[in-house]
Amino acid sequence: MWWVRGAFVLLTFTGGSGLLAYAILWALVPLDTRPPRSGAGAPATVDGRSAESSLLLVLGATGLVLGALLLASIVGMDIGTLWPLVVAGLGAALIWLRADEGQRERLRTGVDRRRSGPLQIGFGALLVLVGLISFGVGGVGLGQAGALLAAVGVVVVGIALVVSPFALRLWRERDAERRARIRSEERAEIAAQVHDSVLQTLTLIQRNAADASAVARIARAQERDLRRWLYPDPSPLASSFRVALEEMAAEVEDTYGVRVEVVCVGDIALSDALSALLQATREAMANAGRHSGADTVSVYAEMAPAGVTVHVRDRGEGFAVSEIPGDRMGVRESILGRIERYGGRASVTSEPGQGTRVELVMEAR
Amino acid sequence: MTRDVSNVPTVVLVDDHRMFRTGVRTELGDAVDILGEAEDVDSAVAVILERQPGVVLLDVHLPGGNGPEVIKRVGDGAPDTKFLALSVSDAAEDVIATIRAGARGYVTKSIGGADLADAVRQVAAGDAVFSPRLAGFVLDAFAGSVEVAEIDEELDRLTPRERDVMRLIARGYTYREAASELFLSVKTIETHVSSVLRKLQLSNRNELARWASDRRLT
Repeated sequence: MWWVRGAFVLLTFTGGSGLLAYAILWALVPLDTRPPRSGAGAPATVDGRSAESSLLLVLGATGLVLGALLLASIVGMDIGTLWPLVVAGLGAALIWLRADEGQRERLRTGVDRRRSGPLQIGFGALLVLVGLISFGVGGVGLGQAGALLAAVGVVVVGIALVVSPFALRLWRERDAERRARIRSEERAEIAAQVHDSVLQTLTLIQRNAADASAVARIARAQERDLRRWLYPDPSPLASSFRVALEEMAAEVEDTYGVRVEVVCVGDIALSDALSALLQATREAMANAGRHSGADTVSVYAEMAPAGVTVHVRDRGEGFAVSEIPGDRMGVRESILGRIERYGGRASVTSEPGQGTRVELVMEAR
Repeated sequence: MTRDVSNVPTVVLVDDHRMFRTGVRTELGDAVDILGEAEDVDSAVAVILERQPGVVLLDVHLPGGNGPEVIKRVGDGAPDTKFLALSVSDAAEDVIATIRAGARGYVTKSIGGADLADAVRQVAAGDAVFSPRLAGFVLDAFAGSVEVAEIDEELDRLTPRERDVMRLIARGYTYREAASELFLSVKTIETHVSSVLRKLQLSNRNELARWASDRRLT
């Protein structure tokens, strides 16, 4: 590096072109040839680095200004005419600082923090323009200012032409990188879900392959779980009758190894009366699971402000309602009694061989 | 073909899982005549146009598009073909989008072999097939606003009888059971269900439009 700088110093004495070249290289090179940073780095060291580079920048800028003044005195220019250039340099420094920081910020966190960016860049650009124009107008004659601006324009266009493919590629790469990251995060989430549930369940199923009812139960529980994840249907209500009913149906499925198909229309917030209705519904589902021998229990709940109607039916063995033994507390007390205490209506319809239908109605009061 | 074709519905099976197609084939057995199978949108459209089946058992989610896409692309190319959607999805937007694309019914894959054969026969005969869940969606979508009859189009509301029929189907009743419960003939029940299907396909109720547009399927 030292011989490079030495060459620049020599060039400086041969008309100042070296200084200009050095300044341009100083500005452009650090951005692109900085060695890749290792890993994500701790925040503290990142702050340290950024403070360090700011210090370097200030030192460099001071050096540049001093060099420029020196150059001016060698060439014999009036130092006063150079202030516009200093202003322009300050503006450029602001832009470069911003671009540099923004890029690092994005690399570090993946977040593009643009809030203060446009302001800073805009202000910097303004400084550069004001500086260049007042230099052009003040230092040179007014007639030459146009030619100077044209020359500057040509140079700017030239630099843009040279730099744009690289900038474009950089931008595209970053875009692709961001999309890949989002994809991989999604993938990781799905993988976690599949691993925690589906793979575990498949293992369980293989281990219980001989026990058909256990396999059915495990598979059904997994299906329910996966459905809830794939098709989330959150209720807007804090204590929703529908959500409570679906949870209860899941519990009955797990306990009795029967499939409970729940269809709900509408939704309503739970109350004491509706909690009683829910308990009665649970008892009806459990009875169907326990006694009917059917593999599916159909549950239908219609929830309206006027009241809630619940139907539980199975196509199982059925029984003669008049012959419910006195010790079968399930139907008499847990279903009929519970509902009637809250002013609701309950009816149980069943015949041997015809399955069972339970209708529960709780009207709003 | 030596079998009496008029009694056995002809079927094309569209599902991207071969294991599932094999399972359905076994379950349906001799109840239907399976003319062909397909595993994605393109092959499905091709085989339906070529074989002109009575019924297409159509998975809602397919590679290269979805079930509704198949129905749209077949279009008038198979005028006598009816679609019965068969899916694991319980999501309302999937169900509604498939029905609105033109399917004559929707059943979930947990349906048993005998019930599925019944459903295929019903669709082949021109009837609509509603699963309990689909009936529940219908009741949800057409809930309320029965009173404001003068504002709503006839298409946008259910008659009290249609509502009764939907309620029974949502409870898991077959058409025959619903008929005896309501003291109606099975034919009348079928008429009501077909009428509900028409409303489901043509109504502009917000709920239906929203469900269908959630996945930009219509």
